Amino acid sequence: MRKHDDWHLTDRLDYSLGRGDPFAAAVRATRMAMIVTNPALPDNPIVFANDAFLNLTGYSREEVLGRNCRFLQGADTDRATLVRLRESIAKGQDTAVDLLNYRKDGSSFWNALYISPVRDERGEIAFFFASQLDVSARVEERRRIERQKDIVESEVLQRTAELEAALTAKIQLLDELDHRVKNNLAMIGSFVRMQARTVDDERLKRMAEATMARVETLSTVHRRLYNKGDVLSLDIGEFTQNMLYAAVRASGGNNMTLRANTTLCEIRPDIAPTVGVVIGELVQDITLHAADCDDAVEIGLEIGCDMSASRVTLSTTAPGYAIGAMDDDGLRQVLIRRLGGALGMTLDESRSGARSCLTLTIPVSPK
Amino acid sequence: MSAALRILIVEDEPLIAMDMEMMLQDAGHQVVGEATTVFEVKRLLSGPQPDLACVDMQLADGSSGIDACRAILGQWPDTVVVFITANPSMIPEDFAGGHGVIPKPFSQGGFLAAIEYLCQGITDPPPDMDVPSSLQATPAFARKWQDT
Repeated sequence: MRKHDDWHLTDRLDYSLGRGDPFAAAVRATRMAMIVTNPALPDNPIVFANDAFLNLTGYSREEVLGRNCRFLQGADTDRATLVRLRESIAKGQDTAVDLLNYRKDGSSFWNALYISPVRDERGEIAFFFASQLDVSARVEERRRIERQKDIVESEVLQRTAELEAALTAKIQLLDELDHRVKNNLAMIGSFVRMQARTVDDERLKRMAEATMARVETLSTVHRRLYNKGDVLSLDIGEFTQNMLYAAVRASGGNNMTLRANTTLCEIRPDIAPTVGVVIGELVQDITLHAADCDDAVEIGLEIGCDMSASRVTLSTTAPGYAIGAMDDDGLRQVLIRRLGGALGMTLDESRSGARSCLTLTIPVSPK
Repeated sequence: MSAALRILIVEDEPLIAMDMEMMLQDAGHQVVGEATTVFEVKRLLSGPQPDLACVDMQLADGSSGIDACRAILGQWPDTVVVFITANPSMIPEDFAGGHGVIPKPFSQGGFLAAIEYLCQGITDPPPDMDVPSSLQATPAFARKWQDT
């Protein structure tokens, strides 16, 4: 008997009668669908199919023997997977793929196909062995999970887009409000400036200018705090230094020089307007007094910052300076006392040689 | 004080326009025209050329300071344009060819320092003062005297 007819012999084996090869009998009896094809015959036909294969596909043994197994393919079988399968077979490699196959009755199932070449003693491929497992339930479960994941992802995307749109709307509203506050501050500043211009009386003019300076200080604090939808903290070192430069320039006092030694010292936005106004009063008091002085004056600024408090020290070499030196109506000192007191700030006056110093202490936690 | 400038004010808020006009006149400059919309700016383009235009971003009739800036520079390429705005984030990255930004609300001192810096850059460049903190000068401003 020729070697290629061995399988027909196996078909005729009857295990119950105790005849034949027990391994072949096991292959025939297993629940795993299995076939053997012979690549030496034209079109690599099926030469053996076990009962499990016939049960899985719905064909009879006569219908499958002698045919290439492509009759299992159908309309929705993935072409790319078939190409991969064909290439593996051509190269004589083991291969495992999930393939959509069709039964005789036209229904489809997911086939976890494993194909392996069986080589003879010379290393030539004598047969291909293939096992088939119906994994439709597993594939369907995987697809269901993927569909659910897609649904959840699209819901997350939609919700994220909604939240981003709401946030954008909020930021636009904040920008719009900020814009209006700034415009209103600009208009208030214009009112007071125009009022100050119309006054002839020197004392009244100074009072109007003091109010103008207060409005401008608030405006500066606001401009620095609110920026492109963000609320920032106020660096009082830089703030005070800029206030001093502006006050010196505004006074036209060419007798003043500034010596500033500042470090970054940030204060919270909620207390920044009050702190800014108090610092503004001190800056005005010292620079107006210095501008009135005939001698050259050095104005000093030191900033100190630790865990418990921030300290702003302003100093002047103008002789005879004391806090309130340029306070026509007493309002300046009232403002410093009341506004400063509300936040637990303290103001200390001291002298160091020819230098008069004002030290404002701003506690980190207001009382 | 450097030489007087001829200045165009483009601002839709009459109070602020009046305030700027008074501050500029007090500083010795001459306000040669005022406009509240892009349309009014275009009507002024046949008039005398200003050295400096102060342009608000949001103008009346919903018109834009950006368009006003482009119209001014289209007619007078040598004019310096400074935006005066409470909303600097609306200014495009290239400043539409503008030379600086003065954020609102400004102080009198800050406004006049910015004008003084621009004035020096126009009449006697380069300016001999530092850029004041009230002005954000764009690279286009320094190019005005670097190119010549």
